[in-house]
Amino acid sequence: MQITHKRMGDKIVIFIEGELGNHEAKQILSYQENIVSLYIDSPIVLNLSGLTFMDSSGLAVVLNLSRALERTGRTLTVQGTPPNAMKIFKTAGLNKKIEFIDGV
Amino acid sequence: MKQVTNKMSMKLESRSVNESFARQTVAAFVAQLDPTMEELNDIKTIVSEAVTNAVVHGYRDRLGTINITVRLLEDNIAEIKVKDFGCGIEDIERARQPMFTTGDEQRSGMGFTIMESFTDKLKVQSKLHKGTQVTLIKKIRGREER
Repeated sequence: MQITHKRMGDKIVIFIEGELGNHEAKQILSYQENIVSLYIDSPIVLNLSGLTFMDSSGLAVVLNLSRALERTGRTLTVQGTPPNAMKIFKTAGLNKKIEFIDGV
Repeated sequence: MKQVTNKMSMKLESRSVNESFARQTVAAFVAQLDPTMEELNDIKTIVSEAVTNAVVHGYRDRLGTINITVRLLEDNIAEIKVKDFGCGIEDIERARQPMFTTGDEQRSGMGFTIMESFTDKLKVQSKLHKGTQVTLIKKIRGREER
């Protein structure tokens, strides 16, 4: 698993690549926490297009980021979610609460 | 009783780093039933959920052994058993409810819901202080019936 971020226009885009399970989630959560407090005014996009595997740990990752952003009046956009991960978000009904968009 | 066509078993220490190994190994074994990519991913996901439960909840603050047995049955059925010897589940019905978790905010509480919807049958047996066994049954429909 690899997590990076990049400024793209006015947005900060976080990229998670590789496998996202329980083992990887801890590192991601702490990385995300830093980004949220570091870029206090920027919209945040989570780009999942490089994910090769995700289980329910990914739900906690997205929910945590979404809640952290809500506390500062921002909303989360999740971009480029692969079909296997989307199946999990849909099973949990997260697609109705969070904005998922296409693109890489 | 369905006839067993192949079988494998393995024992792992309950370290989170082994979760990836467990899901990949089981998926590689089930691959001989010629599943679609989606079915193969479902297998990885359900194994990951069951093994994570054993690591995070079964053994909580200690290291233990996780036994995984996979049996391939006639009619293209994969039967996966994930067993731990940890603390057990006090109330199975409650544990299977969506969003229920005894873990911290890193857990979504959706593990059992995912396992249920990605399998044909899910069985949970548990005894307090003895451990938990999760049996996951999935029929591999494969490419020919799509």
